[in-house]
Amino acid sequence: MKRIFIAMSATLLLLIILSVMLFVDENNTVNSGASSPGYYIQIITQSANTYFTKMLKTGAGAMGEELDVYVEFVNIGYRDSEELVAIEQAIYAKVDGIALQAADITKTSDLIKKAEDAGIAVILYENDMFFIPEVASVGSNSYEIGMLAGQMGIEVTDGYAKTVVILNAANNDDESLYKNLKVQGILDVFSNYPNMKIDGIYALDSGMFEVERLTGRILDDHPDVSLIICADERSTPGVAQVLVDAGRVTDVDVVGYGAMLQTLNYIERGVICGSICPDAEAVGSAIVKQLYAKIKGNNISDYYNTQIFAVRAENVNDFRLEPNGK
Amino acid sequence: MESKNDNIGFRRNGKLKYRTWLILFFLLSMGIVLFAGLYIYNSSQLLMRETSQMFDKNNELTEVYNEVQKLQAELETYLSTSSSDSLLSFYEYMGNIGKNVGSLLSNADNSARGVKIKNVSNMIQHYLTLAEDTANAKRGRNTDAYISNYRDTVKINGYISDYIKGIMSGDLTDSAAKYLILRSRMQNATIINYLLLGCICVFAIGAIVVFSREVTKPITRLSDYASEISRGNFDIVIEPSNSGSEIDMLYKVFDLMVINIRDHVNQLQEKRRLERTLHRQKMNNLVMQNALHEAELLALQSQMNPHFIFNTISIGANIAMLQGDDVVRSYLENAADIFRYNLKGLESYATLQEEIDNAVAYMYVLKARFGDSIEFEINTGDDPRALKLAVPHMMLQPIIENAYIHGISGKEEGGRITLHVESSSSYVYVTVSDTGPGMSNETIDALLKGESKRKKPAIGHTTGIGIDNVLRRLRMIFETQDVMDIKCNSAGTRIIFKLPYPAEEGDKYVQRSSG
Repeated sequence: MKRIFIAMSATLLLLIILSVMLFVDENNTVNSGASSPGYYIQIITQSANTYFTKMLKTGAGAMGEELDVYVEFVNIGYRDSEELVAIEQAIYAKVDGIALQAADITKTSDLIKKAEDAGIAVILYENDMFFIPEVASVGSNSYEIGMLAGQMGIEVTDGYAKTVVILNAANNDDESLYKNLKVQGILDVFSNYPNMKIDGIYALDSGMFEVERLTGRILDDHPDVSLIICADERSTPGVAQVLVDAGRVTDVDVVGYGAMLQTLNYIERGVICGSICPDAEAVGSAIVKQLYAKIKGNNISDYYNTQIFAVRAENVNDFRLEPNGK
Repeated sequence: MESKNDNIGFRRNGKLKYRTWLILFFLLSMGIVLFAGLYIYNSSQLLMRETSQMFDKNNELTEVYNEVQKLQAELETYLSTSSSDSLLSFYEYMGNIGKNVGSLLSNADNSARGVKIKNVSNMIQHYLTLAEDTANAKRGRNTDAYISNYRDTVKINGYISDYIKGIMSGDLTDSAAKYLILRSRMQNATIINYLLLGCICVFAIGAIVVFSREVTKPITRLSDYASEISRGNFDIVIEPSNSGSEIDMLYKVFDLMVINIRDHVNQLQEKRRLERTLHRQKMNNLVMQNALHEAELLALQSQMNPHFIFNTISIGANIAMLQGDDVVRSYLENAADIFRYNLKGLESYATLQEEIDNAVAYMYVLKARFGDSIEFEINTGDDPRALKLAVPHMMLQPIIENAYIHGISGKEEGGRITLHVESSSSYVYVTVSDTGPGMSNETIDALLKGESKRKKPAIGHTTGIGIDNVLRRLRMIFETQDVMDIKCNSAGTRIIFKLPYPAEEGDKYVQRSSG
């Protein structure tokens, strides 16, 4: 008799525990995310699918959690107007801070001023094309990137190459392109090697598909080109693919940028000689850190440089396992 | 009056009462079913709530979106027509939107969606301020200001619309993903609930079956005991139930009842046995009386007056003594002794010694009458206890008389009659044997069974008392059939009395003999 009652009591207890667990689970679900962050910032990014953006988000998210800052990523297209709209929406949304890559100088400067007038902290990141005065910047040093890319080009061509440089730039007039810090870095390195010549500098101004057309044109315009330095992450695999399709892999060496999976695969297969890769996670982390300091009213430096890595066939597998090679 | 423990469901020995077991069982069963139902209901409700929350959030946002569009339309109407109705509607929408935006902000959490809701709420609040400024500028006839503000409201309205559409688009995507998750959870929950329900049903049925069996088992066993008793078996052993409840008490009481019934039945049986013994004794007494009456009748039939004969013989003995004839005197004295002994009556008892003395006197008379043709031999042993044994009066003399009349008297050469007494620890054996022709086995059987045909006493008999009379009286007195045996062969007849000693001193024989 007692055994029946013990079994029944155990069953009842189990059901009560299940009911309580259901209730607790429900309350936890309702109350999840209840903690309110201290500050709320927006990071406006282009091309959400690049390796750089993903790692940037990782670094920013981790630092946001550490500093109790909610980080919202606003992904925009490649039109400059989209960034301006995003900045204006952020101002009306009354965020505490905005991080962006400048799409131009005039309009962006106006909106940054409008944001700062509304008490919103603004910084720029990975900004190597449009200099906006009095706005702090975070990211890898573009000049240094250019130097590393040039150095890698010298190494793979033994100091004898006809080089074409591809940049991601909205304004593609020759004068401004030569003022680009990355190009400056390349030129400075090449200046010590008389047989290293730059035959042309090309700018990609819209979308992924531009690269195929542009690379084809480069091969047509410069049939004796032996080195292509691509300073745009999204375009690097595209350049390699065009060379493969054209059967010019053995003729033309490619130095790329970034660490997209396709880029790493091409490096492994020897199509791309190497790639210059910024520490995107450190950039994301620095964005949040600098914005947080600025929101709190602290003075921050105008430039915050992050590390740069050179990915080659020798270390590509290590880089694949630990994206920044750390 | 129930004790305090009884009131709270315990027996005095600290065990639960049967009623308490039953109440507990039903309460636990109800609890299990209740909580199982509650769990199933709540899990279903949880999923339904999540589903409805998903749509509620979207509806809330849709309502705000529609109201913002209507507000913009009313603002445009007012700016272009200065319609007071439009202005009233404009303010009405402003109030509604303000409330809804407040609700959106208060409900917004810190998830990605919640942050977007905060963003759009802040935009709407900015938009409302700008729209109100625009309307005020119109009312203040500040044309440049309201035109400029209107442009901004159009731009911000576009931002708001795009933003809300973005959120809704995200919601739609999330809803689709969430729907798949919810559907999967619903399917899992349904399976789990069915399993739970099935398990609970099986468990409840099992518990009911086991519990009812446990509850009825001692009662069924008690019923079997009762059935056994009803068949007359009072010797069954009632095993205690050990169920720790009122059933224990029932078992104890039932056991006590069985013991009482058994004692009562034993008493009844003893009473019946005693009644039967008494009845048998009464019957024996009646038979005894009948035998005595028969003996007396036979004595009367002898048509002799024993007192007259005794007196006559006594006088003859005295005369013989006076004349100095000792032989005649001895003869007459022995004859007188025989008659005197006869006068005591058959209903009295005598010791075996007295019976032997009477037999000796009778033998003397016979010897005097028939001379050397008859020989007597007497061996009485030396056990005084045997000689003091109480025996029926006139037991031996008729036997000796029979031995002479039916045994020896018919033989020309004469014969011998022997009286022999010997004893064991339990019996006294008295043997009267003669050297006569004996008797047939049929006669012996008839005599021992008491079935011999009653005949008139033969000529020469002293009392007319036969063997059958002696036998009946012996059996009645000693209350056993095995008191006499008759053995015959070519050498003669032997009648053997087997007389048991009384069980205790002062037994009924001694008392009778003394009386």
